Amino acid sequence: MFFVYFALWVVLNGKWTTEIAAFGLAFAAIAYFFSCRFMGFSLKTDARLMIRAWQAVRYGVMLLKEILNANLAVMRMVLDLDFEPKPQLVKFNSGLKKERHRVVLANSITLTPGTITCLLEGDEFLVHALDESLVEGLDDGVMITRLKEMEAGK
Amino acid sequence: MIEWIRFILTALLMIAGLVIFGISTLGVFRFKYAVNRMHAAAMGDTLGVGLCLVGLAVSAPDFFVAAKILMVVIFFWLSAPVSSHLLCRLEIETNERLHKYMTVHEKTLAQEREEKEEEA
Amino acid sequence: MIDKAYELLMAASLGVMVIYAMLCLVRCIRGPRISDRVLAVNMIGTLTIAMVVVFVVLLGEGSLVDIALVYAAISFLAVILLSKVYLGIYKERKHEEALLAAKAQAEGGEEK
Repeated sequence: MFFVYFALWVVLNGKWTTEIAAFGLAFAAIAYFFSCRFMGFSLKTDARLMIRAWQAVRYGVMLLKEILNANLAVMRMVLDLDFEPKPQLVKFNSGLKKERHRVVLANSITLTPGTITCLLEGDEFLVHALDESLVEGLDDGVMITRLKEMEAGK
Repeated sequence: MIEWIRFILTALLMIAGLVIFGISTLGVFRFKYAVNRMHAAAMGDTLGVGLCLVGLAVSAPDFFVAAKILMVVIFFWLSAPVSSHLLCRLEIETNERLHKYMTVHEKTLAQEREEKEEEA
Repeated sequence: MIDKAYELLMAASLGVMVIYAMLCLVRCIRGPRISDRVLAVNMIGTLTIAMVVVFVVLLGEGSLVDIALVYAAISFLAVILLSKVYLGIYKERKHEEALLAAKAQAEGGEEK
């Protein structure tokens, strides 16, 4: 988290000088102390996050691929002028235990075009899909299996 | 030489992004109902803006500007799902005649699959 | 030569984006429901961010990216605020209608 703050400071400054780096170290330390004190971060959770960072990167790459596929599918639907979509409103239970993973799943579902999460209560997702073919991979697709793996392998 | 390669890369990515923006605008006009339109707009929100800004970051004046442009993309991709989720929720909760516009499934997907298996 | 090419590309893309933004504005005016309008405003915001970043490359002005970042934050906030406000208004109206219906029923009961 400290390095994230520092990188943010440097990028937002837009220059690399000794002065900026020194101030950046100081302010990143202050911000890190603040987030430890009030937002539940600590060195221990950070170490765990660092170990699992590569998993997050893998998830991100997979998500990019999914977004690309879904974009192509929706593009085909829009360009096929005779096609009339049959929108569906489906419910499903994810089976994920942690709130964080559920939120990540809901955001990924919304980020892929063609499916939008409308409501998320407890473990129940209410998802709007543009067409029947897009419902298929919702509750047993790549994203949810990867998230379950992440949850199990911690 | 390297400048031309950068230019061509930028041009390709930007044209792809603009084409996707065009398709999403077409979708916004073509579909009949607000939530369907939202899917078309989500397309421009994710891949359209992503391709355009990555293409522009390739030919940015210096490294930090490129990093900042990539930060805009990341921020946008984090914030876009939240806003479209809230919009969809607004539409679902305020519309009283949902059945007219979409098929509403009362049961969960797993239950439906089980029933299909029993029938077969 | 390359400057000319850059100018041409950026001007062309700016023109195309302006046309898209105008089409979105048409959708915003015509949209039968509130969500259509908010959606169109959101799309215009997206296009504006792309336009600001085009200006960064066209003018070589690095500080304009900050404007794009702030614009992204503000358009995100605007959409959230609008949808929350309309949800609140809808719920309030529902509540009032329910109250009125209950009152009418009570009066009807008294007359009988």
